[in-house]
Amino acid sequence: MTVKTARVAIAGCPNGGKTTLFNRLTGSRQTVGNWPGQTVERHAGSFTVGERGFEAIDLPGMYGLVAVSAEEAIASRYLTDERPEVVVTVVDSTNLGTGLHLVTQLAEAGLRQVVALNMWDVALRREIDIDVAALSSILGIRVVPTVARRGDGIDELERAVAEAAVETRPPPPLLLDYGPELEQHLDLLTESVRGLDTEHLGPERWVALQLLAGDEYMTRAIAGVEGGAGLADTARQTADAVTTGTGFGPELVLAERRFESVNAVADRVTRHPGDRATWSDRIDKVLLNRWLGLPVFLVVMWIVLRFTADVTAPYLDWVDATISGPVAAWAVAMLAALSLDGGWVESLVVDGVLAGVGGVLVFVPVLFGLYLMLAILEDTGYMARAAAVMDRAMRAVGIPGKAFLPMMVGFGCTVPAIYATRSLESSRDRLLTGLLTPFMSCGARLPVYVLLTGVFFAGSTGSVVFGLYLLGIAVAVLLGLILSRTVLRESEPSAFVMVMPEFRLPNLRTVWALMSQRTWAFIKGAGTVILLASMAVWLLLSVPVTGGGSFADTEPEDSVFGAVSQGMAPIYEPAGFGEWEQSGALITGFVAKEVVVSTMAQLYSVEQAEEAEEPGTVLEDLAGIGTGFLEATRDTFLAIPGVIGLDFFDLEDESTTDLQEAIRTSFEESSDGHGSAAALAFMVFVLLYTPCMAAVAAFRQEFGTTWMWVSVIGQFAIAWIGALVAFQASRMIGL
Amino acid sequence: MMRLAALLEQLRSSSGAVTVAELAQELGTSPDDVTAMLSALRAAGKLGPEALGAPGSDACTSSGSCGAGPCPGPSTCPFVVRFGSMLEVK
Repeated sequence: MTVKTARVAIAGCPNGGKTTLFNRLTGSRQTVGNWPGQTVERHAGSFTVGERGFEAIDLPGMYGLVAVSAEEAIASRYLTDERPEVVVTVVDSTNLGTGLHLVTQLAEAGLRQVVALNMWDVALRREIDIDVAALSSILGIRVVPTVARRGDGIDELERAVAEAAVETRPPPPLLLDYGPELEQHLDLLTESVRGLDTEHLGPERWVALQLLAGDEYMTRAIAGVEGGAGLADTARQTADAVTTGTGFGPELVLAERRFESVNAVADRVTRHPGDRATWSDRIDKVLLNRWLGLPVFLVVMWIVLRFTADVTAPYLDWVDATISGPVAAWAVAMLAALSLDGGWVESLVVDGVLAGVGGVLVFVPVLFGLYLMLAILEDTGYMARAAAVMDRAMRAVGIPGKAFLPMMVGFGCTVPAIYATRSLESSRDRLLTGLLTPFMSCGARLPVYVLLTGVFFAGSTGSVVFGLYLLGIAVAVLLGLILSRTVLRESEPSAFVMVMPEFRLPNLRTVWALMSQRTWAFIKGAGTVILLASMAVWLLLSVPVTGGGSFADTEPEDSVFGAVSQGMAPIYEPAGFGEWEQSGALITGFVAKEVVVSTMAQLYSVEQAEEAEEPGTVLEDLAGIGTGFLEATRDTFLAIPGVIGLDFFDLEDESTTDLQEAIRTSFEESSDGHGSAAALAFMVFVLLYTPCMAAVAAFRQEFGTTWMWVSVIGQFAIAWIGALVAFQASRMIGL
Repeated sequence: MMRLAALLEQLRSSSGAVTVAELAQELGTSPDDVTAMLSALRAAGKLGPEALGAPGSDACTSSGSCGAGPCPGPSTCPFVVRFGSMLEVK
C-alpha cells in the first residue's frame, strides 16, 4: 500500500530561522519556482521519515493571518485555502510572544501544527527558560526545541511531523475567550455561519472571527457562498455594534484580547532574567541622544570616508600599476601576436577599453573599502540608528519624516532611491523627496572625488570627500526648506516605528557577502555600461572634424568629441574648469558618474606621450604583481591608525602618475594657477548635477516629463552656481 | 484604555519615526512590553512593513553603478543599505 505524500508548510515570522530549518529538513532536494501569478519565489523540497514522504513548502515570512504585504498574503492564502496536512510554525525562542501570535491564529483557524522553538541555544545563552512541556500542554500542540543552524532537534521535529500527519480528523480549533460582550456577538455570528457551506474556509468560529475583524478576503469568500451575502452585512452591523459599545474597532478589540492571552501564556511558561538594560540599550542612550546623536553620526561618517579614501590608497596604486603596466603590456603583446598592433584596433584596446574601463577598475579598492565599512555598520545595527538620527534632523527642518529613507538609499544609488519615494503616500512628499534625493552623493561619484583629491588634496582625501558628502546633505536640506515653504507645502506627517536590532559584533560571513555582492555589481557595471561608454568616447575621439587627420589618427581636440566639448567648455570657465577635456568628462558623466573618470583617463592618456617601458617576461610581471600586492597590504595596515589621526608611519607617497600630472596641468591652466580651487569646484559640480541618465529615466517614470525637466535644469543650475561659489571662495582663501 | 490602542495613539501622534525605547518611555512601560504589543498589532494587521517601493522598470538598465540589468528596486538592490525593521501604522 502506498502512503500519500503529506504537505508540510513551514511558516513563521521573518528572521526566526524558518528558511534555515527548511534547508535542514530538505537538504539539496529543493525546487525553486514562483508562486502562481506572483514574482515571489516559491521554495519547495522533500524529506522522508521512515517510509513516509513529505513535501515541504517554505512560506514567505508572516506575523499572522491578516496580510499587510503581498508576501504575507501568499503565505496566508496558502494556509487557509490549501490547508496542508501539517504546519511547522517556527518560533524564535528569544521572542516567544511574537511567534505565539501566529501560533494562536493558526490554531484558531483549525490548522494542525507542530511548533519548532528555534534558536533555542540563543535563548539558553540569554538565560531564557521556557517550559516546553507546559507550553505544549496549554496549546495542545507538540512543541520541539531546535537549533536549525546546527541541526539540533531536527530528528525529533521530523518525528513529530510524521506523528501529526497520521491524524486524519481535523484538530479541534483553539477557543480563546474574548470576553462576555464580544463572545455574545461571536456566538450569534458563528451560529449564522454554521447554517452555510463554509467547511473549505475553516472552523465556523474562525470564519465568524475573521468576518467580525473585517478581513477583506473572508468577507469576499463568504459573499461567494450560497446565502452568504446577507451574512457579510450582518457582520458589518455587528462590527458597528462592537465599535459603539467599546469605543474601538472590533479588529483592535480582538487583537487586545489575543495579546492578553498570548502574554499570559508566555508569562506562564517563560522565566527570564527580567527587564535589564543590555549594553546595546546603554549604547543607544548615546547614539540616539537628542544632542549627541547627530555629532556621533557625523564622526562615524568621517571615519568611514577617511578609511575608504585614505586606507585603501595603497591598493588603488597597486591596481593602477597592474593595469597600466603588465596588463597593458600583455594586451599589446597579444595584439602584436595577432598582427593587430599599430592600427586602430590597438588604439581601441589601449586608449579606449584599457584606459576607460581600467581607469574605473582602479577604484575598485576604494569602493571595496566603502562597502566594507557600510557592511560592518549595517551588520552591527548602527545603520538603523543612523536612519533614526537622520529622520529626526530632517523633521526638525520641516522635511517629511519618511523622506530620509529614500535619501539614505541615495547614498548607494540614486535610481532605487527615486523608486523608494513610492513609500510616501502624499504625492507632494514623493515629489519633494524625489527632487532632493539626487543631491545625496551616490557611490558612483566617489571615484571622481578620490581621483581629484589624490591630485590636489593628497593627505586630506578623506576629509575633503566627507565635506562633499556633507555639502550634498546641506544642499538637499536647504532646497527642501525652500520648496516645503513655497511650492510644495507640508502635508499630513505619517507615523511609523523603528524597531532597532540589538547591537552585535559583525558577522564576518555576512559582512563578506554584503561587501562582495556590492563590489561585484560595481565591477559588472565597469564591464557593461562603462565599457560601452569608453568605446563610444573612443569612437567619437577617433572621428576627425577639423585638422585633416584620419580615423583613429587625429588630435583629440580635432575630433567630434573634442568639437562638442569645446562648444560646451565656455559655460564652465567662470567656475575654473573651462578646458575642453573637463567639459567632455562632464558630458559623458551624464551616462554614469564613473564615466567622468574613464573619460578623463582616456582623454589625458591619449594626449600623453607614450613612454615605452622595457617589457619583462610574464613570470617577472606576475612576481611584480604579487610583490606589489604584499606591499600594498603592508601599507594599508600601517595606514589604519591614520584614520583616527595617529600617523605613526611616514606613508606619504610623493610619486604621481602621468594621469595625475596631466590632470594637475589641465586644472592649473583652466584656472590661471588655481588648480586646487578649480578641482574643488569641479567636484562640487559632479556632486550636484544630474546623477546619470538612468536616474533621469526613473524620475520621468515616477513624476512625469515636466518635473523631469525641472529636476534636470534645476540640478544643472544649482551645480553651476555651487561650483562658481566654490571656485571663487576657494580662490579668495588662497587655494 | 486598551494598551494596544494607547500604543497606536502614541504612534500616530509622533509624526515621524520613533524607536521602541522612546515608546516605552512615553507609555511608562518596558521595551520588551512595547515589542510584545507591536507584535500583537503586527499580527492584527494594524502595523505593516515600511515599503521601500516596488521594483523598478527597464528604465534602469543603464544605471551607472549597477549594470546588472533592470533595476531590481530598493528592496533587493545590492547597493541599498538595510536600516532595520520599520513598521508603519496602517
